[in-house]
Amino acid sequence: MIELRNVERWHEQGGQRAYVLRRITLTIKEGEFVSIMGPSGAGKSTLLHVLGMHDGEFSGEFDFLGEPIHKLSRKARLEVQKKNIGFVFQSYHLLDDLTVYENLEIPLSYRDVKKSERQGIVADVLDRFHIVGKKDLYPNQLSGGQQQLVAVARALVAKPKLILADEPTGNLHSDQGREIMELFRTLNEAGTTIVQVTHSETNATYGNRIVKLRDGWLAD
Amino acid sequence: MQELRHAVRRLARTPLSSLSAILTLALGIGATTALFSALDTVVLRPFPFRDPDRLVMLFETHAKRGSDRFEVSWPNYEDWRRQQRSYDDLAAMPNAVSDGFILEGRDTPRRLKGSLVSGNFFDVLGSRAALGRTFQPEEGRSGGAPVVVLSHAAWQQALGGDPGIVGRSLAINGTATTVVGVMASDFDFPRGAELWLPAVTTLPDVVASRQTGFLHVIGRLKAGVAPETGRAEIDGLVRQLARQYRTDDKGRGAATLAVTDYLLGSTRLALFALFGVVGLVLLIACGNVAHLLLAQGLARRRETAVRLAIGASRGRVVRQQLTESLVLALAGGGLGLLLAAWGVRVLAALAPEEIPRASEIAVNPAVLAFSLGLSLVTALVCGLVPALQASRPDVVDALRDSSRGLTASRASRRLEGGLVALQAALAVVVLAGSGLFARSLLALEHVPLGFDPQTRSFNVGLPDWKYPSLEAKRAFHHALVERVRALPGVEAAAATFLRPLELGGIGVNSWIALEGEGSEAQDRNPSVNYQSVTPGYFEAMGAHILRGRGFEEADGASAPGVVVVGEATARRFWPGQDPIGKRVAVYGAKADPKGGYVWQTVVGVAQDVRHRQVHEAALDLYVPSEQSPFPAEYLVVKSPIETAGLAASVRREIAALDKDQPSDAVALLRFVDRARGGARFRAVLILAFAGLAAALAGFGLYGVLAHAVSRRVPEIGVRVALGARSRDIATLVLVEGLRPVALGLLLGLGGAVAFGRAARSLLFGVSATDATALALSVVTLLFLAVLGGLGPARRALRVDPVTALRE
Repeated sequence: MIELRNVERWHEQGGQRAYVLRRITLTIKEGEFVSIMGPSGAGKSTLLHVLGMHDGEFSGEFDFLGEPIHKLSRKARLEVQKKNIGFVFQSYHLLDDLTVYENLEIPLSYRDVKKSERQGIVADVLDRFHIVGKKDLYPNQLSGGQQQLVAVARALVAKPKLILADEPTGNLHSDQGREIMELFRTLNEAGTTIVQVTHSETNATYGNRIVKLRDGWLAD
Repeated sequence: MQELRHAVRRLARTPLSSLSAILTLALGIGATTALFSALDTVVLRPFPFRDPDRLVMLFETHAKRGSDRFEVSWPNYEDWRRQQRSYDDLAAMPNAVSDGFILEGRDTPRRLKGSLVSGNFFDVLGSRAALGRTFQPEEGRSGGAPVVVLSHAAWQQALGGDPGIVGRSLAINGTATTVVGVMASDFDFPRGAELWLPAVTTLPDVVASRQTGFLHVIGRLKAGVAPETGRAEIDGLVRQLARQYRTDDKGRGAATLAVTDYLLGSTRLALFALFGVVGLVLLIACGNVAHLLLAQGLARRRETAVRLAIGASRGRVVRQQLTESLVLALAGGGLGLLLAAWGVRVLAALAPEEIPRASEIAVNPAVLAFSLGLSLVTALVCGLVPALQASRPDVVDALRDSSRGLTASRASRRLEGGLVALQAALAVVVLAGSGLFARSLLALEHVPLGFDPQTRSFNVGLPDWKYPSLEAKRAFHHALVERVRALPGVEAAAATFLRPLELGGIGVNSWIALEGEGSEAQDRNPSVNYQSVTPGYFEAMGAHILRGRGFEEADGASAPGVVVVGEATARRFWPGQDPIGKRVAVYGAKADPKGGYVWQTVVGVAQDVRHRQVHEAALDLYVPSEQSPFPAEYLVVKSPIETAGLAASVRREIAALDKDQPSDAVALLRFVDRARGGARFRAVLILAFAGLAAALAGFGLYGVLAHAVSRRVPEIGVRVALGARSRDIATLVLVEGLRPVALGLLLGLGGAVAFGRAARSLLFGVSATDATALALSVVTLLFLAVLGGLGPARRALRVDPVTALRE
């Protein structure tokens, strides 16, 4: 699914390049559950954002489902992203002004799914995640765990092939964190590829492969 | 719909800032809409003439006599009409409406304002009667039956709206005159006319000469003929007639003016200038709202990044943001429309008489459409840049959880600075413009009028049918003046042919010849402003005789001719000399049997009186009424008695001489007010707009600085921790705010000069680059900037380094 070859990412600092990622060569197959680990500043989140196609400022080659992402325009890259990738963030990043229902509906609306279809899909997801009773609540009326549940549901609602999660349990207490990780496992078992960035060894055990980064380099 | 719902919900969550944005836009849109209502009704709406674009006013010009708009004599008009080929037809009307039409046969005689027009007047204008008809060709010829067309107002007010009025006979100036039609209520040409009579049947002999220009000629250009072609043809005719009937044609020619320009005068420029100013105010308001949206966009950077991350296209994000500004603008527009509905009433009440159709200014469908369109444009102007700015956050950075809150990019800080500079520039233009107009008004208010505006006046024009000779009229006026002088409390009284400032620039232009000059001098000298007055006039008017004397009873018809000249006239014709004893000849001077002039001796110099325009002194020359072909039309009375009481006494004296002479009383102040009305209207409006602009700019700057301070709290904390003093922090905040203001001031000064130049013809006694107005605008804006910066600076001084650094 994902092929990175010699991917590098740097910032200009005082006329010099400060590398964040160095010669990353990595393959992730469909159906994998990969955990990216490493100390702070190792480049984990940067790698996730490159994979998530928000960040196109890298060198090297990046193929996604056979599509050479490094050759695509920003617009085309974002189209590939929109079709295939869902995101889960540490701070949930739900839209505060929208209800749970609307937070789930909006990615579909961005994909021009018809209103009648959207209603069916969202109802389905609400049901699947057991949050039907919360559909009219706003994010600030939910606990952190519930918010992250909604965030995962939102990441899934457009049926992505890949979910990228950046410290998905970082702001949750352990019970809530476990629930979310269980959910990820279930999703992975159902066929969704998952890549998570985590500091937690426990969370990493939910995946089937760990990729370690140190100072921007892949570590053995 | 989804975007709309979300936009409304989002705005409702920040009610204070949403409300302030809506109010800001409401003020801007409301003021602009109100001004547009005025512009639409007064300027843009077609006048009730067929193809008004083909209608032009025609004047004679005579470069040597210093005027580009001389009235045309009746014989010349008739020659033009016969010989021209460029116009479908030419019509004519006197240069001013006359209040000398006395309607009798009702309860009490009543004066009506009317115009003696050519028989084809309505046909040339292409205006039809609302009731009955206008004149038929034979009614415009000599010997035609006396007929009258009434204005809608006269029909309603003087004749009670009698539905059977057409065909009825009215006694007008002693003649049974058949009403043939009533015009529609929107027909007001010439302005103020209440009735129209065909001129040929009623034209007095005294003005039927080729030497007496009193007509404004209206031409309807043939289809496809350019105005300049028509003007050039009349120009040729003027020269040909001058060669035929005068000494030469040098400097003579013709000028044209579109009828709409004739009717609107300086109103078009004034309203467009005010509309431009109010547009600037709206832009300042837009700047405030745009800044608010920018700040909100910054605060919502992370939200926008999330939207982009979950699949929103940039277009969708822009659309969402624009929907919010659209909701704000529509709410502001709706509220603005309510303000405009109130504003147009204020405008109509403030509008001076010189503005036509002012009473009709109202919110109509065109104004509604304008307001809606303006709201949409406003939404775009306010919202587009913030929306575009917000739609491209650095997604990676914005989503990073370590990202430090509200940090503005350099680009958005530059944008903010640009907005402040733009607002400051616009505010300077409006403030400087208001300074120019206010100083113009002040200068106008301080112009020495040369007469006491508290002098009261009464119209006492006498109808020819009852007083057919000049002598009869003079006898009546002489007797009346004597009686009024004898009234208790009356200090002085006299009679005059014209009252100062009543006709707005119109008066009697006379040629003048000086003893010792050649006979061609009368065509070379500039025209003088001819006034026919009775003895005691200067005393009654409070006008001072500076040298020599005023007129006396001895200056009668058979006495040697005498004149009094104004100061400007004395300076112009006898520079450095004493004019007393000099001899001149002017209009109406009898030729002696040998064909030479009968000279009139200058016996006095009077202080200049602003007879025609407040802003411009004319070359005054006074002739005793007894020696002039112009009979008195008005009584002027100096008295401390209040007008109503004085009017009752004077009317009793008039009735004692002729019980059927109606007379209205007026203080000359009314004409002065009217003459200053345009300047006052402009000054009041622009000062109001300047106040609004200053307030909006002040608030805008406050908003920007407050936002900047909240953005810089951690930095300020560090600075305080490093030992910065209060003075350093305050300077930091104020300098950040004042830098773009300074740039705006520079730009604004350029704009202010350009505005002053564009509106130059509306200014009086002040130059377009008046240093005081410019300096005041700069000082005001700097004061506002410092005032706007004080709150945020105070907040910056209260930053606690410990808390700030922990944040």
